[in-house]
Amino acid sequence: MTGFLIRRVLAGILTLLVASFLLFLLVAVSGNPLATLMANPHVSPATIAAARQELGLDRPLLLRYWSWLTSMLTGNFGTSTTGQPVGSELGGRLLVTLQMVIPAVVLAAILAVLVGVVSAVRRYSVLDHTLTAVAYLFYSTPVFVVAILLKDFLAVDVNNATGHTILYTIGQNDPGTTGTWNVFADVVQHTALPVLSLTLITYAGWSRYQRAQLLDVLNADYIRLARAKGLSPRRVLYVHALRNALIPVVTVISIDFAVLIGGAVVTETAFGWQGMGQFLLNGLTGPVSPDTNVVQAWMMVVAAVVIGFNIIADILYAMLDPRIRLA
Amino acid sequence: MIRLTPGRRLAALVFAMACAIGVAACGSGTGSGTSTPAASSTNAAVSVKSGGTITYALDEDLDGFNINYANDDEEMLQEVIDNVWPKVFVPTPSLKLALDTDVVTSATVTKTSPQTVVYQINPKATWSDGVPISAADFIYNWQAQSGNPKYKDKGGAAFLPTSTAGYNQIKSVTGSDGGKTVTVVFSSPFGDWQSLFNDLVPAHIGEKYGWNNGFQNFGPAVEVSGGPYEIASYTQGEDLVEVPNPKWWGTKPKLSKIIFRFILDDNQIPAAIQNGEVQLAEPALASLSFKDAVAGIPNTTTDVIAGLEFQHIDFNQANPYLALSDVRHAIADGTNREQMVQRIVSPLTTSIQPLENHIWMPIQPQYQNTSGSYGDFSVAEAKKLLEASGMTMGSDGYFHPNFGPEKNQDFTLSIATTSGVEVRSQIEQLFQADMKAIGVKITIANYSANTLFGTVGPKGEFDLIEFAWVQTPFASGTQSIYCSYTDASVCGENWDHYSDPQVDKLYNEALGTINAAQAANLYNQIDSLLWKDMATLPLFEQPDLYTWSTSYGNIEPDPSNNDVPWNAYAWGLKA
Amino acid sequence: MPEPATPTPILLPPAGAPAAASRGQLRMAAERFFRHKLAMTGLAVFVLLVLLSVIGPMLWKYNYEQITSQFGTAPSAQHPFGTDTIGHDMFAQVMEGLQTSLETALLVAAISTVIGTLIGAVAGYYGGIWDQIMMRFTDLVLIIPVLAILLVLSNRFAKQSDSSLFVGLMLAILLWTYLARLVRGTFMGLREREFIEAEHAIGASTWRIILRHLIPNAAGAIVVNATLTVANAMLIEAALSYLGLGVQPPQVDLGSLIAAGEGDATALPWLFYFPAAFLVLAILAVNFIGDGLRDALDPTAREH
Repeated sequence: MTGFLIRRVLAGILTLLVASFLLFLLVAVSGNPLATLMANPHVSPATIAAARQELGLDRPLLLRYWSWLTSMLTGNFGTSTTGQPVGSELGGRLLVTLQMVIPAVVLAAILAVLVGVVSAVRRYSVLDHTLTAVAYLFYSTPVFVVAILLKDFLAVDVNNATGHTILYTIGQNDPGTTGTWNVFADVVQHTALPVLSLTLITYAGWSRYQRAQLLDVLNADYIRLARAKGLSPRRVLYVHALRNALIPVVTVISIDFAVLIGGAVVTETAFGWQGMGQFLLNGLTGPVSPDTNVVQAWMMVVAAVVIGFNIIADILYAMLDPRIRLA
Repeated sequence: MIRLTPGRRLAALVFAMACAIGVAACGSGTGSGTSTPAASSTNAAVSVKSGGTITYALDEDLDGFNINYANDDEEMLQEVIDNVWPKVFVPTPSLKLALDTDVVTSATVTKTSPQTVVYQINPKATWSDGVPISAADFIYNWQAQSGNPKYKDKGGAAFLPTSTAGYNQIKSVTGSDGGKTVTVVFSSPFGDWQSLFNDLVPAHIGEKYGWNNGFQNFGPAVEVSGGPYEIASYTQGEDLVEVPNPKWWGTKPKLSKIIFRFILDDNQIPAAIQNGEVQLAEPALASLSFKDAVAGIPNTTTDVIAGLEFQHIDFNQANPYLALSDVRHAIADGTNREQMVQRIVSPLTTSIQPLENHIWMPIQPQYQNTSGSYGDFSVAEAKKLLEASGMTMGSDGYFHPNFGPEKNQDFTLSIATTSGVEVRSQIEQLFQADMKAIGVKITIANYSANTLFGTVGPKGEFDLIEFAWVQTPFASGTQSIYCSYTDASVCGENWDHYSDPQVDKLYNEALGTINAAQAANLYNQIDSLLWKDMATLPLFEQPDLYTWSTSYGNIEPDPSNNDVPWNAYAWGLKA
Repeated sequence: MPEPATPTPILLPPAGAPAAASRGQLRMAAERFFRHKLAMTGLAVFVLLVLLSVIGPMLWKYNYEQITSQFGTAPSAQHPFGTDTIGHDMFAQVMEGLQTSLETALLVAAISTVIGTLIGAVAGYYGGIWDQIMMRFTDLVLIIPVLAILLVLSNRFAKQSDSSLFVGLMLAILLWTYLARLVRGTFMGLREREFIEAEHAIGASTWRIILRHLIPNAAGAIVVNATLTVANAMLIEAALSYLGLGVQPPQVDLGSLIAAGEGDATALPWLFYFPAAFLVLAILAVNFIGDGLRDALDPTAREH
């Protein structure tokens, strides 16, 4: 187990390093952050030269990568092309994305397990067919379409019906709010629709997977044996079958969670949130872009989460299923 | 003078003001107005109560806070600092220049040779940190924007101003009378002197923190105000909050908080207004769908005005075919500008017609139709001109040039604009259909705003390019677009390789003309040459759409670059 | 990955599941597939959509780029899906958008399947150092942000006039990683089996073994994965268009039509709902087909 962990973490770090190098080259050669400045006829060449020096663009690529790498290893992600410290910015952005992704994943997981179990237990019933149809529908709908529908209909209807602004469609919070309770309510009101959008499109696939896994387990010999031995169907279902059927589902959920950290950009865009996705977009298309420090920092965080959760998924797998040995 | 939108850089050139306005204000060369901007508001009659908050949606975040620093020169920032940094002259919604008597009690041309302007600073004027507003501020703002290398920013770096226009013609700025009288002497006449010393950077803050870098992050430097409001907080990507400046010496502003909320996608604004999350918005580009979406929202009013921004198609004369006047005129004649207006603009407002002037907009009194019959829609005329230029209609319905790189092939041009902007792509698609009708094949190649305005445009890597110029009320800034491209130091925005010595001569004459009527006349002469040469094809004024909650009074859309917050000090909840 | 809907191909069989190989098994699989009601419905809808998108534009009276005399009008007999604000016929636009979306998705599926199969095959068959190289390469592709690569490369290399091809190629070289792992797993399981050793013994070439024995045995998983990649690619491509990074005008795809119609969802709803409905319908159809194929090709995964 320890050996497994060490090897996986080392391999992950190595992959991360190579990826950071490739990405750095790709982004650095893709454009000139000073292009807009240079297009300004009133800016003298001397000033542009000074700006180049300030951003370090006058140094050789490999040297620039090396200084980025060494300062990153000391926890310093450098400054963005507009002079903001990237590290502190990144922390805030990550929190914003987590504010959306964590509730969505928790809700979607609960929903997926419930729907999956109900569907499997009452296989081929009208309920199962209905749940299947709904799941397929969400599984096949882009998240921004769900978001647009929720904003234009659910939010507007709810707010009109109550005469108050209950559901917000823009932003992750209202920064002017004061008081613990108000801040909490405000965050919930802003978070509700994005979380609902993500939950709906995420639970769909998981619930199908849960259903399939549970059906597989229910047909397995050891479950048949347990039934034959006269254990109560409830006990068989919840103690034996569900436990084993959950293993692969939990694995998939933990891997997807990591992917969502970097992948919530569409939902962030649809609801105007300033999370990780917008951070990356800004680093790539913002006014002074491309911004290697921003893009690199983004990738280090997201990739570390992806790698980390893949390892966690493996460990979870082993813990839930004593037959698996990590070696 | 000019800003590019969207992408919304105020690209350089907040230039000279050719006394755009009433003869009374300019004719004598004196600008000693008596009105405060508040008094000049045309419908300040609505009585409003003190207190309350308004949230105004901005569709782009800020790069920094020094509007006069090259990297920060953004339309959005101008709106944010309208009520923060002092201005000598403020353009009103009718594009009149109002002297801001809270800042200077008078500004007068006392001598024409050499041109000398004397400013009397309001004795009560102080920065919010207690330092008086004085001649030192004028001197610092001049030096920083003079382009003179002998003046250095903090740490010995070169100042990096947005524009040096006008300031580079100043010989000296001196203070007297305890710093409250400022005398500016020009080395050569500068007709648009009223464009100077607007958005004054506090000198003591600039010297302490630096012009280039001191205002890049929110902090103590940014919090200093010389206007009715001060910036209280800024959260990147989210919002900027302004509160009344406690040291403000003029009429107290009404609202206790103005929140500038960054909503980058216009499509998201209607729902936000409906939800009460936003009370005032102006989408980057007004569209029918936006208007329809906000039309049904109760207690909301919408106003569409013709702005100072206009869409145009440019011809790159580095292309051997576009170098021919006949071909440029053929394309202009083949472009159904009426249809563009009818389909893109008319559903929003019927007040806008095809634009017949490159320099003045129809909302300005100096506007004239100088186009003659150039650019009038005629498919037959367009085809005739293409034949005259040496092309033969092919059997596939496209002209085939008898010369040049496209000899005996379909005559093909590419058009570029910023990707992802609905109005732009609509113009392109209508244009493409129009050109097909006269036998010219158009391919569309769009770029991100950064690439288009940073590389494709300045390097001339295009055949045709479509975007908008955004003007201030003043004409002289157009020089950099239309004067001969060979003079790169002045004509950096001439991306089209256009050149006409007569235009150059007239520009130099107009720039030094202090009499407003004479200057306007010269600019119109320039414009008729631009039509004759078919330098670029103006399409139409981009309408500006404003929508706001009817609970608020004194909100008044403004076509100038100061935009709707120009009188935010007077906004308030209706009493 | 910009589109979180299907980060992991959830509806796939476990790696290494034995797949249909012989002719008899193939016939049985086909029978199972044709009895699968959902899959047949999906197939019928998909075929109809393909026909509509390919033949429709040839027969329809309006070209998608054509400016018609009406603009901003609601659906009518003349314009069954209405017109947009400058006068395009929306029916022609939706058909064209559908064609672009389907073409791109099929291209992505085809190319990524070839790449994934090859890389997985090399890793799984040769093992050892080759396995290490291929799998670390796969990890790299997994963690470098898709958005960054698309933005960087499209700014630099894309000719906007064939932007859908560019977007398709980009997605193709990024979406093969799951399949590579799947094929690797299958091959690793198979290469130790007796019949492979027998082939070695009679001196069969490596390529013969891979092509004749290993790939057919992994074919079920590959086909199912390819189908689901079509659906996945349509989702991701639509998301890119929504972010403004997908196909560029004058090309249209369903995602760009939806993005353009977002602001119109309440005022001119036909500009939003028609492209959105067709996108969802197409993805749904492909998912049903994938579901049926999995059930048919992989009977042991489920017997229901």
